[in-house]
Amino acid sequence: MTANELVQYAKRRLAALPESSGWPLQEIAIASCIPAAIHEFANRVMHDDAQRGLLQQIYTVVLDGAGEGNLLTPPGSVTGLAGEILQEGVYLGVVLDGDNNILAPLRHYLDFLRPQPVVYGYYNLSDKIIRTRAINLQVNVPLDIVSATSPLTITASYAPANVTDIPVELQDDLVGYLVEVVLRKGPAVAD
Amino acid sequence: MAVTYGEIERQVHNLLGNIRGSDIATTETNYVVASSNTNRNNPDFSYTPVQDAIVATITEIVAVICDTPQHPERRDFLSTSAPIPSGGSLPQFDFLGNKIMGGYGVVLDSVDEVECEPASLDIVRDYNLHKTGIYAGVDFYWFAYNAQRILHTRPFVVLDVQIYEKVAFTFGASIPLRDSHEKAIVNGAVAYVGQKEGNYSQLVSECKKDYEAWIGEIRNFAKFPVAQIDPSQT
Repeated sequence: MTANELVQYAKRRLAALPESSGWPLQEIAIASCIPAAIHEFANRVMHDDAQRGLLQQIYTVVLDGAGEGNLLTPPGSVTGLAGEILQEGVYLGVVLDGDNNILAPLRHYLDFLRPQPVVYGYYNLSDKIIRTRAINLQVNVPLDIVSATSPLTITASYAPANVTDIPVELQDDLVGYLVEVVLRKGPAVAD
Repeated sequence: MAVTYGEIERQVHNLLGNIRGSDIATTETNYVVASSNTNRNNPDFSYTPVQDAIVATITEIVAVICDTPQHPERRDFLSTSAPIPSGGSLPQFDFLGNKIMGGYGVVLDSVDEVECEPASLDIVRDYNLHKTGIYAGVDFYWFAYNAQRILHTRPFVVLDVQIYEKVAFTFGASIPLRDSHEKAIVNGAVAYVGQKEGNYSQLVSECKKDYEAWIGEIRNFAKFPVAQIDPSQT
């Protein structure tokens, strides 16, 4: 489905609503709601166990000397675009280090700095950065932290920048979301 | 289009009483031939002023047709402009350099020839400002006129235009209008050239009345069953 087709689907669905004859003239208003609709929709899919996998892709994140990687720079494996990743989607996905060890999330930086069971490696997200702790290494003080092996392989949810990247199975739902977002703007006003 | 300038001219001369002839046969013979000193006998109306009046009347009728939105005969003068970018000046010539007459017609994308819809200047401008951001991937076919420029949401558009430039009087050549205009051209030419002489005032008045009625029919063509609205022309 292209963005043009999405606008048409939404326009026709809106036009079918009672007392909404002005919508056919409001294509630009509908189009302006697409980015917001995709983000809301992607967030909803991310929290849906049954559909989450349809909007997940793999990001290969190279860690720097401090064991940190930027989540917004690597391209996604499906769309080929950077910056679409949903940070919360990392927690709901999988993070593997360079040796294929699963890293467990630590949502609070303080937890990341203090001792944890060594059976897992760990990661923490803050300020678009992912920080890692290697598996099987005891950390008593922050200086004991050693980075996990690079690169990380992160399977995470994302919000597609392009309508064409929405899987077929989700397209009808997206139309419904777009209609919902558009209707929040209030009744159509003819030009 | 089958009517010739010569057929118009002889009718004008006939109404002005210019056909020489002492009997019917001679008058008939002189009526059908090209004007000359031997077959016209009214020095008030020599040939060239009559021919000029005919050409001017034809031009006026063409202008009224071209200025009347949706008039079906606009297609007789139809052409297209050269491709115009958004913000470009409205054209004075068609793509071959012919002069445009009358209002602009439908606006088409220059590549896929999809019709563009009129939209408000605000909408067209907003789309163009954000077409690579908010509206990325969404294509619209809109245009808006702003002063003497056209703004639109396509890379290039072409406009349907009408072209016409005055054509010199040629006795045997067909007029550039449809045959239904024959009588109106005669009336218009008589009304125009006849003003010169006061003793033709009644003839001029009648011809002018008929001619102006015809011009009114052209402008209000939709009221008459002979003329149909063409929805593809705006």
